Amino acid sequence: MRLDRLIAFFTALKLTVVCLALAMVLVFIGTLAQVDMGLYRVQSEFFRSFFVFWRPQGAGWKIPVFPGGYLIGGVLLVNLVATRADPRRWAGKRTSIVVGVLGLVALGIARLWLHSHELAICGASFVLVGLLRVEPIHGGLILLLLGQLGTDMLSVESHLRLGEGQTKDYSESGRRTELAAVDTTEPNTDRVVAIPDSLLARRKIISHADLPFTIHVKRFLHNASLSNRPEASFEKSPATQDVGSPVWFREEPKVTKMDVRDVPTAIIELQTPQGSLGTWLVSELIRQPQSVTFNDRTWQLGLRLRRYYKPFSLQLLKFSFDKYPGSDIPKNFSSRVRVMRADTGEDREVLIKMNNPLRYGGETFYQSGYDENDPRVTILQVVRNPGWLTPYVACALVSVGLVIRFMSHLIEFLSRRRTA
Amino acid sequence: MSALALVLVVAGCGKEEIKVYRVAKEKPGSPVAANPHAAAVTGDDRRSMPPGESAPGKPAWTVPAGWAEEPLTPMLLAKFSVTDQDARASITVSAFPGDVGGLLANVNRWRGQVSLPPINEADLAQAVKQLETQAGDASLVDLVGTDASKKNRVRLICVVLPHAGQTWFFKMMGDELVVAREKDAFLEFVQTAKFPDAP
Repeated sequence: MRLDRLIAFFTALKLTVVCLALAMVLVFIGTLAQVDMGLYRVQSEFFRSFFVFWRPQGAGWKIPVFPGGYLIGGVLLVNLVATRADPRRWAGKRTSIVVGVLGLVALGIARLWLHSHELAICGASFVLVGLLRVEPIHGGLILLLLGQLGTDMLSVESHLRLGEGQTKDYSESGRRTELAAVDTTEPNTDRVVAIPDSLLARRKIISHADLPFTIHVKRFLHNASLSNRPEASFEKSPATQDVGSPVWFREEPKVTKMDVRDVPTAIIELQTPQGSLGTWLVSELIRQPQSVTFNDRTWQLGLRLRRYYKPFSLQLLKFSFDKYPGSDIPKNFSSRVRVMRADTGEDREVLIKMNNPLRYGGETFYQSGYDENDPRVTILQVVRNPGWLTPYVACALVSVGLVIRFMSHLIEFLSRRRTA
Repeated sequence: MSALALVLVVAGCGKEEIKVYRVAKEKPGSPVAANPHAAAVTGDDRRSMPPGESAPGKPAWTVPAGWAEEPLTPMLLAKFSVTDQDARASITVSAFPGDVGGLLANVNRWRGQVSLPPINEADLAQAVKQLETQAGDASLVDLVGTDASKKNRVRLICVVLPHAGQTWFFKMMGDELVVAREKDAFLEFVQTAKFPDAP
């Protein structure tokens, strides 16, 4: 009996309506909050969270005041799945057969004719929905929600900035940084231990099997300015080593604007069983790697934009952009790049332009813009999104589901008229 | 319930961990990796710290006769001084990511250094001249004012050169007469700067 009530609660259409209404309110207040908090903070605190918290100014505690994006999406997902579990709602044997057959046809075309990996995935999804006897409209919505969650968790977005003639085998995060401890002892290669900024902010002591020392994070500032002379409200660097020693720093508030970002600074001490190796101030503003030698190995320390290395490299051959006549408004950008991959011997030229990205190595390289300070530098947006196909498959499922539903009603109506 | 459990499990996957990998050494002289989106702070001396001799991206140049190399402070790539009896001028080179707050903010900061009042955007075009260099188009700022502490006449000339996502500052500041005498040598020095990625 109790189970029936639970099923009734989670399958209720009312719950769907409440979730959708809450989602609308969340989007509305999230949009307003962007004015003060900025897009990225709102994304993480409103939409990529289970609750929206309210923290009084200066208080060390916070209380949840509204469901976050994950909670609303999660309940909506349960609502859709539970509808499938309720046998009274939908039997749909014939629809399942239609969807399954459509999936098999798509799979056959994909394998035998078009050789399309994407169409094959779409067909397989249809077959799965048919086998599970999920109502296709619900199946599409479930896939859409799960796909978005997967995108949220698994997709990585970065930027590749290239000047003409420049070659790079890595892209960089737009905002996130990392502490790179690089063992530079070998003549041809470097071994990198990259520690994300979130870890520096969270942990006081960081150790790793590949590091011969432990890193004690004395202070981590999410955003800071540096100066080479004492100034009002600046603190003297407590660093004892290298160029981070004779500097002054000041903590800055977190930025909220879209076109600027935080520049973190950390004060770290390296500890070994034999004692301390010293204290360093690392900041992205210090572009020169700072060195330390321990056990005959030389390590370089630097806080830098997070890097995503690739098994291939891109060289910018030519970057061009047109402006609308008589204005500085860009009309068209294009980057002619050379893709080089040592392990396969691949070496070819590709033209990347607006709406014509390069899809390569599981990533998509979009022409994003150019450096306003130096028009010869192209900026490519690099997106790795394993779930990029899910919205397409979800929309196809919903469309097929709507057509089947409409057709079945139409056929029923026509046959009734005929019998009448 | 299983769907909610899945949401919770996937949400837990977003944890960031330490990564270890091996890469080929970066070639010295490759352009400095620029920062997309400039920092919020203003003032060129707060933006960046010095790459030393082996740091990537430092241009090659020809130092004019009579300029003495000075020890570097953390924010500078190069520092020189030139003297004439008691009079003196210093020449510095620095580079910072992004546009360093924009040209107007920097011009007004320099105007403050020679005790001149700030100007607005409308007056900027008159205060700045365009200069063609080997590495691209640059802005030339030439200011004459007084030193707030010594009360003597000082002159400040700065060439602002955007290059490969960085803004380069070639700056000469000092006694008016010395700066006037060294102006041609300074501009020639800027013209000799050849960046590592230049053809």
